[in-house]
Amino acid sequence: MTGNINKPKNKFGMLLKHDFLASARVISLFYIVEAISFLLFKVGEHLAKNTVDPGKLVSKIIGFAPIALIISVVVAFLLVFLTIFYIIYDFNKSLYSPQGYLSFTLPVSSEQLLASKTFIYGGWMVVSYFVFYLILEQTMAFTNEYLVDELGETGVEAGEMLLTQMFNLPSLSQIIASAVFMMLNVFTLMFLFVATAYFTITVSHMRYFQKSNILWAIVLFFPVFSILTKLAFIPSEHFQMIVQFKADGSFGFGVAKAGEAYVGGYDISRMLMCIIECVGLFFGTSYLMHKKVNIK
Amino acid sequence: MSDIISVKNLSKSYGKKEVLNNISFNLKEGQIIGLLGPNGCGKTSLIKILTGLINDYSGEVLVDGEKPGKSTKAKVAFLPEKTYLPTYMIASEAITYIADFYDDFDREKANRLMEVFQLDPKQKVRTMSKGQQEKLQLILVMCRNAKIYILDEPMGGVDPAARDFILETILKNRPEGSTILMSTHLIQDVEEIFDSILMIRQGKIRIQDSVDNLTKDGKTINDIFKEVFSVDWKY
Repeated sequence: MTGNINKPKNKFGMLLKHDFLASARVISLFYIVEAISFLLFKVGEHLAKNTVDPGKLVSKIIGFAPIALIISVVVAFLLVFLTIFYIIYDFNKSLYSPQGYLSFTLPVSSEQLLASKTFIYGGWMVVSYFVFYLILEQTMAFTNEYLVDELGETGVEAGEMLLTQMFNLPSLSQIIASAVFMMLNVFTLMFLFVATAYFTITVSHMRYFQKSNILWAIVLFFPVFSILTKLAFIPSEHFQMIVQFKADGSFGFGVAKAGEAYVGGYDISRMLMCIIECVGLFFGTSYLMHKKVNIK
Repeated sequence: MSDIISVKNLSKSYGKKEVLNNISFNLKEGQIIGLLGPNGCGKTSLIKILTGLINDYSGEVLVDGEKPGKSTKAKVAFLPEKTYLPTYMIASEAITYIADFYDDFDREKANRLMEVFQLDPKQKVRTMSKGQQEKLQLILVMCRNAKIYILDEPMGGVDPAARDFILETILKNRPEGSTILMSTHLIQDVEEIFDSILMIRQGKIRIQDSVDNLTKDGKTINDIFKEVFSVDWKY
């Protein structure tokens, strides 16, 4: 028997590399569209600011900058959904179509197969969310000048005042901290959505469901996701794990009884429950991948 | 010769349907073994178990002394019956993909065979004919210096000229001392290359013996196959 021909490589690293390359082929196209529309907006903004007429910005908003910005926002919004749609589609295709013969005979475990997709696809999801957030921030910055002209205060000031009143939070740093937790909450829900999709797709490729697997994946997804989101609320019915924001800008953790009023805090019990559910779905999915799935 | 594959009391069922019924056998290292049987006899299920694609079965299965899994997958080069390569890849990317995961892959040999097979490294799998895809898959499998080759119907659905070409490729590129387990229903075309035969009928081993023993009274493997399986085709 001949010895090794290649230098041994880290197999999990190779999984990450190839999952990234495969997904980047499609997802990068979405970003190219986003980059073009954003570039158009920037060109439009530049033209608007550098026209000979130094009148109010509101008079220049008729130009194509705002249209390009609207397109950019819409594309960024679609980017989040297209990314989620694509990573669910690719999960099914790369594992449970004939391509599964390649994936499942690689010298890696099913946990590694799933973990690689989780890291790469999760990364794309987070990036798509941040792009959306950045585009929104650009929208705010653009309209800010309009607000200064019209209202005499910046959009940030107006937003800070509004949020402070809404959340009863005393400072901007506390609002930012709260926004971070809100964002994390959105991420955990997005991850729960995708993890449920992976789980139900995997279940639908078990022998019993295989004849109509797409139908089963859809039929199973909605009750499972609905149960899991309901379960995520159960801890909050008994107690609330709160991140409490203090007046000096620092924050700490605390527990409050269900229904007990708290000021300047954010309930993270549902978020933690979502994380636990995602971990459970990860191991459940990898167990089914290893033991129960039938590649046709 | 030691046993490279050892199967003891293996059973596998799909619901109430039992596809492998308490089978036991050992395969010797360095041999070319023909896995023969009609469609639906359990050949593909057995292959899926040996390659680690199916893991819920009862009984004991050892591939090079280990239960099928991550470690045995590195030792087994598997050619499934289906075309399985991602269609977005170009041929050279498929080669890189396999080279990245299997330390025993010989890239130089792969490049050489690409020329012999007249395959364009820049061509997308999507635009290849089924025959070209099968050639590429054969290169990916036979350019590994694996201990065990498991080939599921490697000549199924190709014309007789291509069969000879595929067979020649397998025999020429097989590392010395490696074991080949080949399932086929085209017995006449390949019987002279087998060292031993494993015949499965309705989930049970019907014959496991060396070709020398089976053919010592002048019968061919094809004749024996017909004897064993003709009962399934009587009015």
